[in-house]
Amino acid sequence: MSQDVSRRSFMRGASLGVMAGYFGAAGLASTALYRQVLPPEKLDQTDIGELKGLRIKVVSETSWYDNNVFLNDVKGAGGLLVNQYTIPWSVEGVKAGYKGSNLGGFATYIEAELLDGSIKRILLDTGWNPEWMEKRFIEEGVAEKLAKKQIDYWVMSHEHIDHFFGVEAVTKYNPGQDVYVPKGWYPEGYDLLKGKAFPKANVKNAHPHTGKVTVLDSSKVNKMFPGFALLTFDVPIILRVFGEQAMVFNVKDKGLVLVTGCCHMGIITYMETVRKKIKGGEKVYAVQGGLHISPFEDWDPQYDDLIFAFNKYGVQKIGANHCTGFITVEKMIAAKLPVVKGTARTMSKRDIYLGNGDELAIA
Amino acid sequence: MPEEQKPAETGSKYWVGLLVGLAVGGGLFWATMKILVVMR
Repeated sequence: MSQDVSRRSFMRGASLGVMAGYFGAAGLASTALYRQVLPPEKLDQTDIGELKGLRIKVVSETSWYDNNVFLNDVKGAGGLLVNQYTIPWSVEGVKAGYKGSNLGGFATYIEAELLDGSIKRILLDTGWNPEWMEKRFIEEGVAEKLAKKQIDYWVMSHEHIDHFFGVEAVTKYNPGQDVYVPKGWYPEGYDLLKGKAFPKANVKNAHPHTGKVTVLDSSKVNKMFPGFALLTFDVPIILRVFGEQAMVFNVKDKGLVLVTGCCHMGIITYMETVRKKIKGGEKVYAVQGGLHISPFEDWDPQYDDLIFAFNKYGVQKIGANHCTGFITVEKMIAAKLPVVKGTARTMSKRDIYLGNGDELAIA
Repeated sequence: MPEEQKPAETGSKYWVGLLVGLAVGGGLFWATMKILVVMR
């Protein structure tokens, strides 16, 4: 009888102990001892080299001027999955637009100073409205550099209307300019490049491209020159577009500078990919360009995570604009993130972020 | 209660059982995690 009672006591203690041990170990394994349980993360980082300095000029970040007009164009055509080459975009009668057209565009001009002091010049995207884009290219001296063949190459972030449909504003000045596009473009994109018109979408290219077209894919880090690489993302995008690429620069004594067109892959995916694939990617010095968080000025509580993510990567300068959205930037400022202010000129509406004609210099 | 069944002895068995249980439970979790990591 005595042994029975002792055994019962032992079993009572043991059953409680097994449960406490299991859940206690789970708690420790997910907190203090997680490094002992999970294998260390294997990073496949590429050394992209270093630059001496970088100048990023916003040629145009105002892709369209009236959100409601843009959204009505999309709705009228059947929704966000409709082929962008078949949508009759509003080019007249828009009060807030440029000469009545709702079309603007996105393009960024970049000058990178290499360690030997030489300069590399890159154009990111061509914008949308050729008339507006030509004006901006002339005002920022980009048209002259294109004509003098001083720009090393042009990079297309993705195939979207506001980044690409202004192609003739570039090819007019240098049809032979070499271009890098992300894998996933549709035939219409290459046709437009070669001079085909799409009257329904009010887009044409009167100056067919004659330069080299290089398609980059996501299989590797595409090193372009010391201190600069392109990352391609296989991402489906609204208006029947696929694939986006973004830039990674490494400035000596500063760190990595990420320059994006629209960032449809998501800013966390972008920074995580940089962390895993680029040497030094654990910290990002600066992010510039469209971050695609609230392009239509809407907000969802889950977007708050995107704001908090910047601290994880130690971002010291945020030169956001374009599809980042004003609401997002207001929240960034409220969260004391290092947002670089602009000057709200040349059709950019507010000075809370980098606008048309503003520049982010890193050296 | 019989005379030979002492409360102190019963209590010590309980604590021994608890310690053995903690070790077994912890080990069970640890082994499960290792297997899951290998199978990943």
